[in-house]
Amino acid sequence: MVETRAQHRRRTWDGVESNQDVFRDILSRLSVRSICSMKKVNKYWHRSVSGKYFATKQFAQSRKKPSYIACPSVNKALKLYLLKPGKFSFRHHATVDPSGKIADQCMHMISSFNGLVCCINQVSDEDEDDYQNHQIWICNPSTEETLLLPQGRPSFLAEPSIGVAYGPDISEYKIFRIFSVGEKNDGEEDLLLECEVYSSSSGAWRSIGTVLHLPMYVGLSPHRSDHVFAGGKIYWLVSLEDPGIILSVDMEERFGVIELPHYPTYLREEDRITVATHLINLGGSLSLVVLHADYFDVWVWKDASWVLETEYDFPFEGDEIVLSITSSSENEILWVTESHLWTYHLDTRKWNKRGRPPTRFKNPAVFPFTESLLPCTGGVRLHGR
Amino acid sequence: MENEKKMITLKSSDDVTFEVEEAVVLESQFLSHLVQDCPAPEHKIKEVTGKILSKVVEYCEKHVVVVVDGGDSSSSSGDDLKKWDDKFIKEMDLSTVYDLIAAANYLNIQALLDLMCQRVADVITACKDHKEIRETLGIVSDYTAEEEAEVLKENEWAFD
Repeated sequence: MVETRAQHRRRTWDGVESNQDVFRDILSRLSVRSICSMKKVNKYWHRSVSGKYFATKQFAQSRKKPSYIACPSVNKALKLYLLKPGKFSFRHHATVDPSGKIADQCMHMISSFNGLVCCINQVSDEDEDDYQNHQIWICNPSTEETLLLPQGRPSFLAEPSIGVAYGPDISEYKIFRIFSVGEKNDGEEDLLLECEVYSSSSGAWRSIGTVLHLPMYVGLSPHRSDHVFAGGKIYWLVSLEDPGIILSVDMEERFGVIELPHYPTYLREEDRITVATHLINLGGSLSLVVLHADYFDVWVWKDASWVLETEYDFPFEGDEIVLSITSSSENEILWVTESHLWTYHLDTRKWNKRGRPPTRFKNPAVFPFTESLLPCTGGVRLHGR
Repeated sequence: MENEKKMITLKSSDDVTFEVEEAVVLESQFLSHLVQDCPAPEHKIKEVTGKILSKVVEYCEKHVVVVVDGGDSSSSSGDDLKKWDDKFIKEMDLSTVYDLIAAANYLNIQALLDLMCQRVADVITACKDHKEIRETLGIVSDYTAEEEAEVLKENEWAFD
């Protein structure tokens, strides 16, 4: 009997499907949205895309296609857009508005890692204005899963600061929270600061003792949680006053302090460290971008010292204020100004004006993003699959 | 002449023969080992038909790194190669794609396997839902009505 074309196709597809490695390779190339609908095809497909093994494979594929996730305008619901390198046009990805959120509060995206985003919203207590706290959320915007972390200890007299560290395993992350337990007893104005850590492996907060510095409000950011994670460490700006310092902490919970690069005092004020100073992760290295009146400096932290990488002019007018800066590679920096996105290429020194946001920027947050199937808990301690 | 290129003959399961340069064979990990271990002039590949082997040879010949006289090493430029790949794959029906996946997997030609897997991924992406995926690939669902209803509302991503 001669095989029909359809029969042949069916038989050869069976060959592809029954080779688990090849089949999973194919499925791992699809978007997370598509993978969700693949679970409905049949039981075999469902099994093939479930579990940590597949999630890891999908993540490896996704890493080859880096993108950015943007929240152009802060609001009660977190409206997120994907930006693909090349066109950088805003494509709506998800709107996160978890039911347990305090209704009136805005969601601020403060970090993006392994396909998850960390968001905070202020918990206000009208009766006691010296008491401050946040709700902290972990969300996977691609699967629309959200997780509210347990409440941390109250912070007195100062808003707490949060930073996210992760890796080397994709299911591991730690949230560091620096908060104030009150004024020091020695009569000075200083606050007594402590740090607690939430880890994906324990699912709970754990106090790790006192810290000497509370991260600062950076630029126009409405919270103290501006930070970058680079080379295995979280970095926060603490102060810009000469010499200015950065606080760091690693996954082993060891803190460190770095002084900002030195500018000679004979320089004009606008040619030294300015209030428009940002931290970014430039190709895996900590980098400091200092904006001056009509040019900027990029410093890179190499072998425990600052190296001035580039100094360049702005293409935009002085009144177009830079709101946010980020990078997902070693040679491109993405700038968010009041009206536009710009990319700056460090090798070619070229500026490119990118798309306009769908809504006016209001405390915009933009981070590198890699789509993943990772559950918000990190999906820990699993064996066999 | 020393510079003369070494030729190797590949024979498909249905006895179609292909004479190719050694460099072409080296694109395949499997054939590289075979040629090294067994210096025979002809190699029979029982797992691959002549129709598919001709496609494999066509692909490898295009992708082989050409050593030009004078020691300059160059391959077709990246953009040209990509255009060629797009055309190569566009003219292919799904059955051939599946057969090439099996062949590329067996012969261990990673770039060809990647290209073919991406093609199938694109076909699946173009489907609007799981029903269309079933139709396109000729897959039968083994869910009962209740199970399917359960899966449809499922949105649980914890690794259980």
